[in-house]
Amino acid sequence: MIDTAGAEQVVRADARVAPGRRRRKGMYGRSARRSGVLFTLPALVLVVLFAVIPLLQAVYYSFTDWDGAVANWVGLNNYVSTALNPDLQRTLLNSLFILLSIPVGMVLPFATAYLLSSGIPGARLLRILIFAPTALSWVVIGLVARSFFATDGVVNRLLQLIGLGQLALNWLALPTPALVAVLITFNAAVFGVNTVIFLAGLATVDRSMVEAARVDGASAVRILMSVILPAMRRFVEFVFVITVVVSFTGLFALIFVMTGGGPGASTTTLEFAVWQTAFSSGDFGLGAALGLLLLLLTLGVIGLVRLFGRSGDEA
Amino acid sequence: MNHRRTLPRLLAAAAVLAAGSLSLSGCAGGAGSSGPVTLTMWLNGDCPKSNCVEAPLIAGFEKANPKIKIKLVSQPISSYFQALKSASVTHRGPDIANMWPGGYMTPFLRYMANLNDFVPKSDIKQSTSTKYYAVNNDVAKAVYAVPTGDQWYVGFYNKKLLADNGISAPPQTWDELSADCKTLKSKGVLPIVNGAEYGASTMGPLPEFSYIASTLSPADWSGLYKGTVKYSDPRLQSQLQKWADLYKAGCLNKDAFNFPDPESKFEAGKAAMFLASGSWEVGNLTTKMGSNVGLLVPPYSPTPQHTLVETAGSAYAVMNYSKHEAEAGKFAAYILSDAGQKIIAKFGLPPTRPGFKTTNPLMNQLSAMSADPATQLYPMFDNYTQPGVTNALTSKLPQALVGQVPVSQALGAVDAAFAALPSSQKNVNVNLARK
Repeated sequence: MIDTAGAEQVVRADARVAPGRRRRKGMYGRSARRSGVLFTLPALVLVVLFAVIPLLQAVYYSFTDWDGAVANWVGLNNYVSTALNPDLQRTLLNSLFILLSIPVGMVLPFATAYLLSSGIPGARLLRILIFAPTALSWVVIGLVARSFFATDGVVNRLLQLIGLGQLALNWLALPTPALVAVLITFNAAVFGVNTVIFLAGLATVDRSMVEAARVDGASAVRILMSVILPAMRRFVEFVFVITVVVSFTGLFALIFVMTGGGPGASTTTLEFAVWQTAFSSGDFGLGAALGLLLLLLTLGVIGLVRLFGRSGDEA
Repeated sequence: MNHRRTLPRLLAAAAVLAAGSLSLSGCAGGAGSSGPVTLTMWLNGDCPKSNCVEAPLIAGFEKANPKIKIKLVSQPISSYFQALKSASVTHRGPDIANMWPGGYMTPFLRYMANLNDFVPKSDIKQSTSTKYYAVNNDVAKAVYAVPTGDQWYVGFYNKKLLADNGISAPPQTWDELSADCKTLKSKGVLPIVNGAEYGASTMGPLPEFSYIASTLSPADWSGLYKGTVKYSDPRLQSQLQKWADLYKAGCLNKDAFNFPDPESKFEAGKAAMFLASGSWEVGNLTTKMGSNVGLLVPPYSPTPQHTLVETAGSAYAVMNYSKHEAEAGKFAAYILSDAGQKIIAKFGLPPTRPGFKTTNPLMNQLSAMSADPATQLYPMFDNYTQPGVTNALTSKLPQALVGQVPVSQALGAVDAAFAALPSSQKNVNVNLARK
């Protein structure tokens, strides 16, 4: 016979205990939330102080003629001046070319990381050699690149050595070759970091999946395309996003040293134009307007990448 | 270990240390302290022994004022004024700052002390070019900096190279320059060297543009600043085209656009003329080339050149946010004092007060040319252009020289840069009365 009374008592006892548990859980939840807020607060304060407030200030100053000390309201004048800037189109095109070079520039680090992770001899030493140059500042990289692409530099000497001396150029003095030189240098400069990130990503790929595909007779290319690359998608996306951010906001020193934005405006990027306008011309208001345009452009590109990334997740 | 007792002790010790540090720092940097004072002085460029009057001036000043030391900090030329602006906005700039006249000085007016409060008025009045650092060129009004000398845009030629190739005198007109260029080229000598100087990535066209623009009358020149005369004026286009034709004819090195350090090539005797320069290189070139270097005013004129581009030389301003304004003011006064002028003259620069002659014959030649009534004096054009226009000139003129863009397009871009200026920058009045 089943002792239902006992069962009822247990249920009642449970019912009595449940609110207490909820109360304890609720108290724990509040405490956890409080701790979370407290731990996040320092970072939040820093973000507000060094990102949100300056951003709001930049928005305000973009409507003024701020010269670094005095700011008078000028309405949309700075945005009109930006639109009328004869070099703006070229500047945006340059930023676009740099953006387009990124996927091409990601192939080599990925291939290198793939080779290194496949256990080739001397992989450890190669890793160090590949990563070490990332410790160099952009100025040093720019100076080295400048001598590399000089009339009597390594590029032209190499061309002469292989019998293509007629292709030797004064690279940094001609509009298109100067931009190509900057693109090559930029992608070479981020090569080490990107390779290391890809290496980290490759270490997370489930080896059993790779082995299973191999046992099923998949070719190396098929394994790369159908197993490794999909597993690496998050890393590829991450590398793309940080390289885009660097290309939009971190190339100033490289361009300043290599070409000064020239010939003409052929290597001027939006970021370089911000510096030129704000600090070289002393027009901080117009510089702020250009800076906001740069911010919107960067966010737009990253937003697009995230959008495609999300649609990939859903698929 | 008892943490409850240790923590307060640690805090107390930290407080004592902090208070001690604060009081010590107060002793070192406090305003009006009677102890030794170290001033920071920013120099636009580096300070090589052969070309840096600041070093002997500071040494002389420190000897005369043993309680004041000056720390000279060299800043890169390419970003000097930007760095000074950033530092001044936050009042963290130097006590004494290197300054150039005209448009370079304008953004700093609110940060510079009036030197009439520190420098004897008689010395300021006697100085020929201190007025270019005064409001409306009037020393009775605020004076913001005192120059270490007069300065000229000028070129140089290698006397021996010209003479050895049958050229008895340096060219004075476009035609003579063109003829000399042909002669030199036929003998395998590079006629003119140009390139990127002082670590810049491309050539600086501004010294030569002053002579190119000297085809305009002083009134029309002023019109360029105000926008009443266009940069694409046919007279300027014609002058610029002749300049570009020189490159096309092979009179310049092929990599003139960005050849690093053209001056060294000229010093080494590998080029006959070096035109994109100024009197600030006289000392260096005299040291390296001796009497073999001659002055050459860029002969960018259809008739014999009588123009000379002159402005007050590099000067020093006292920043009003300095905690040691009075001590910094003493240095400004020292520059114009008898002792300072003697140092400047001994160094080979032209002192701005009368009665102090420099030892360098080329400098004396420039002073004589400047004083000659037949000489048409113009200021350094870029000293008064709006920053946006200066950027456009710097960026487009080299392209026009090497034929990357037509002359009309290059000057049109400068007009576009002028058009894009805020209205407050367009109405610039430059007093071109030089004497």
